[in-house]
Amino acid sequence: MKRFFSAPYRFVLIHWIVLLLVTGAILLETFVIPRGVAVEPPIPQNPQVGATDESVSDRSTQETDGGAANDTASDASTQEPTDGTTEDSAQTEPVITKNSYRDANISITISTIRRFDTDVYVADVVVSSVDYLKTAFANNTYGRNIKQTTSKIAASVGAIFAVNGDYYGFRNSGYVIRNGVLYRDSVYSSSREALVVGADGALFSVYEKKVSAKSLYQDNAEHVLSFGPTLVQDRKIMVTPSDEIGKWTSNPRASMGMIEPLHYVFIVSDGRTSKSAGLSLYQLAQVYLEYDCEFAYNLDGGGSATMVFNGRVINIPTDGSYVGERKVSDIVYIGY
Amino acid sequence: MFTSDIKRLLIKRLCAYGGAALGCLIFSRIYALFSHGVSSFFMTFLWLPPLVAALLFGGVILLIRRSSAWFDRLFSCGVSCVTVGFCLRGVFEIAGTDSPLLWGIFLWGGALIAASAVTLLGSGRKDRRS
Repeated sequence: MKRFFSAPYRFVLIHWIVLLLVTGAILLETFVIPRGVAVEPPIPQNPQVGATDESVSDRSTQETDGGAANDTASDASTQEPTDGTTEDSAQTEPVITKNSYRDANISITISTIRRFDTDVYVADVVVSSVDYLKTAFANNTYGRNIKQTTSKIAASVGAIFAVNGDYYGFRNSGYVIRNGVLYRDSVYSSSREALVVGADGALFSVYEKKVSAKSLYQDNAEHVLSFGPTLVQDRKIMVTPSDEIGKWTSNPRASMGMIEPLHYVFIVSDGRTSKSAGLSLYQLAQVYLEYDCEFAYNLDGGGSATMVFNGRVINIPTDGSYVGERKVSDIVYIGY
Repeated sequence: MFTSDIKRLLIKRLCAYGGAALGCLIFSRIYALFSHGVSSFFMTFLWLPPLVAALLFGGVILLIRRSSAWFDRLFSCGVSCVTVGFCLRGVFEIAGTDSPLLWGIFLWGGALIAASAVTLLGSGRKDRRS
């Protein structure tokens, strides 16, 4: 064996072949190979969050009593519409225009503004219940590298309005709670802020290092997304002009904010084109302040940034070279 | 090993590691052009592992004035592992993703470098015995 490897360069050659194969495997595992790790929600099987069993039943009881979202684990994982009867009646006779939607429970108005040499799309959304602010997974499946375009996911769940989410499936950590179901409770990093949609419809953020996903789940968090950072809190800008996801330039952005609970503002900006430079995080926060938002949070941007309304892509998604929607792993949407 | 052989090996390896460091520097700068302003420590300093390797290799050889074929092989393979690990980590951080498998490459690289040190020490003992 030693003699075999002692031949000049043989050991090094074999080492490089193995290294290249391993590198290829890691790249495929990270970027390409889809893994649906939990079609059934992981809560009952996960011993770490097993202590939440009591709270699971508590939440189920509350929800049943309240007659609101009956998101049992399986319901949420398959993104079935809930409260069919009430909502169907509410859906009757919506008033829909090119840039607006209005019915008894949902009001959406989309406007396009020009800020910082960039086209910015602003959706003002008012809902009567947090049940109409929902999230959905690509292919109805939670997992890594499971992707669809925002418009396809939106169409599959009948969303009236949608933006891309946090692209949780591109990472192995970071909190994931969707439609009341805890899917992932691992901390991404000490500086990572998670967006929480509370049971009352309020938006706020927490540091993943300080607040566990389990406690958010027990506090009836409806959705938790992990990207960030927080742009605005208590009507104050929380980022500096030099802050950036990865650092300094302007980019396409997707984000969501809140004027008050159940009154949301979604902002998506173009960028990386000759027409639109894109926004820095600070500029994005400034736009939120124009709309008097109490809170705002940055979602996955760049080529992922997409806003869909009534089946139509509103912005011009691009990663800088390819113009078109990027496939993502999840969306935030308004619908029944 | 004769002194002239050591000198030749030293120059050869310093050129190789220096060239690798330069190549890594050029690669990281080109990658930065296409990363939309997103940066990563590991991509920015991709040239660091081969440069440190050159200094370590040169320092050790000049200090103990001997080398061995297996030390050379294992050390260069370890450095290549760490450099590839840096590159992948940089790519992943810029893309905003991660992979738990990456630690395997760093660990394997570290193990090879440690093994090269053991080999060098072992060859020294053998020389003294003979």
